[in-house]
Amino acid sequence: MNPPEIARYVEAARRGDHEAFEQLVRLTYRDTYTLAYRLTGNDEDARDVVQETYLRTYRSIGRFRGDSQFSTWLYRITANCAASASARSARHRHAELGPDTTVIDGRADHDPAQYADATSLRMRLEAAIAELPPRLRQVVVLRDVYELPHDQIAEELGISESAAKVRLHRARRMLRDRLFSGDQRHAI
Amino acid sequence: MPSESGRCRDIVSEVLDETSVVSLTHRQHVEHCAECRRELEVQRAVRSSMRVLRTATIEPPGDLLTGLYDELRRCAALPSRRLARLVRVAPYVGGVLAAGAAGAVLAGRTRRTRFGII
Repeated sequence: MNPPEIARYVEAARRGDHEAFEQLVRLTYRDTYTLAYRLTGNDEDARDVVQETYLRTYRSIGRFRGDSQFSTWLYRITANCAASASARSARHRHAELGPDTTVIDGRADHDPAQYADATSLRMRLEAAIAELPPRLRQVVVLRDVYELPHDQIAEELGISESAAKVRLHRARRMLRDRLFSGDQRHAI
Repeated sequence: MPSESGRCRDIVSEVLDETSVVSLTHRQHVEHCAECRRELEVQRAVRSSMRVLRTATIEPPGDLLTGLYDELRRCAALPSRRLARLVRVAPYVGGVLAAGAAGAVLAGRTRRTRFGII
């Protein structure tokens, strides 16, 4: 992302320039999708989160005061939308998964052959993050990858700051155990 | 009850986070505990690797951008919520204003009648 270019489009979009907003979407949607995917763990939910994020951003861009960077503001909206999506899917999960339902994990990292080949640190990290429970994953991604402060994470996820910290510690411990367990102890 | 190594991991995670207020006891423990120092190195390595992910993007599906544009154009074509609310409440506001004006006219007439001005 090119911050001056972004700032110019943000200013125009705030004045109601629809095309400027579309340019903002073009420049940021890859990053937004990446964050949404990391928070939700699947493509379908990530798409919904991205769509909801930009609709909310479009409606509220007039209120963006520029106190923080536009990207940080967008990350916060994405986190909030992902938390809502996660809460919704948690409510419907029991109805959707019957006893005879076969759950197919479509992620490439879960294919044994591909997993064996995926030796790069990034892929192992992505896989370890994806395996975390959603509530822990959201916090560790927002804190350790996107470096959002605890209070903002807590606000967007609708939890207390101390709960956010507890989840962060648990997530870090689980990640560490997954990345350094057994023969992978010296992997990093 | 967490094991000693489990306790060390928790303390280290706390120390690792610059924004957390770490108690003096915990800080001193980390300084003198070999396991904690080892654990701190491991967790630092995990965290710095996590930051690498910040620049690594996951390629979105090819049709995502056009879908977003379509959705935004649909949203732009709709009247804004504020305008829609204004349109909804306008008749009521108009009614209240008209009633107020009528009331003022009647009150004026009454006053003029009372003072014999007609």
